[in-house]
Amino acid sequence: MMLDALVSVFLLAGGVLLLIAAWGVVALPDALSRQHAATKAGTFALAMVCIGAMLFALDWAWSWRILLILGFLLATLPVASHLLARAAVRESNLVPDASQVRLIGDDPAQASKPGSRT
Amino acid sequence: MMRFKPIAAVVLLARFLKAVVLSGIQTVQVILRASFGQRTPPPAAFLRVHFAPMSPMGASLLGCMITLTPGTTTLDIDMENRIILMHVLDASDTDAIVQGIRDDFESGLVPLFGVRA
Repeated sequence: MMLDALVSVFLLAGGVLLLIAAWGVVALPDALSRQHAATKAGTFALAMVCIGAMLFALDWAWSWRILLILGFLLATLPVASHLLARAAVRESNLVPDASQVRLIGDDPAQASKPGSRT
Repeated sequence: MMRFKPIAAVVLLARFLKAVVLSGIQTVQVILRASFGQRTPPPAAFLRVHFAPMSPMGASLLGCMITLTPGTTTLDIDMENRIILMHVLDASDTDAIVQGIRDDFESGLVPLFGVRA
């Protein structure tokens, strides 16, 4: 009973998050922001769905397969996201010179040197 | 070949999962704010951040982690100057972004992949 409720919570949360992510692809203003919603919400929402499915099955045979799915997701999502972002930047020519982009935070190798924060 | 450190790896994994959950919630908030609230999406921006001296393997893992955390995407890694170029969805609190990368990822990666500067 408790477990059923927990499974429902995970599956529902994952579903709602995916819906919000899909809406984000429509609502956000530009390609770069949109790929955030399209790829990254996947990490979080699909993990929720997978955990829900794992709790529902309660069986190692299935748990391993679901963990494999999660592993492949974590291995491929950053590559997809990175390439989408690079393609968007290259097409729009938003960053003609990387050295002009704002640099934040200190250099950790020279953390003892104060006052370099911008 | 460096020695494998299981405890450091597990700590890093736990911190990474924490960061994914937290920034996942933040990204959902950004999307909802952009569509319902005051209909003004937060300022997205390109930023560059220094990272601690580490091997190319560690740097690419750091890039992947930054990309996997919702709201930030790695665009380029400059190994020579140790700078990551990234795009952030919500650039209203840049200090928190730097702090998050330092505390959650870098401090865990340096024991595993750190090299002397």
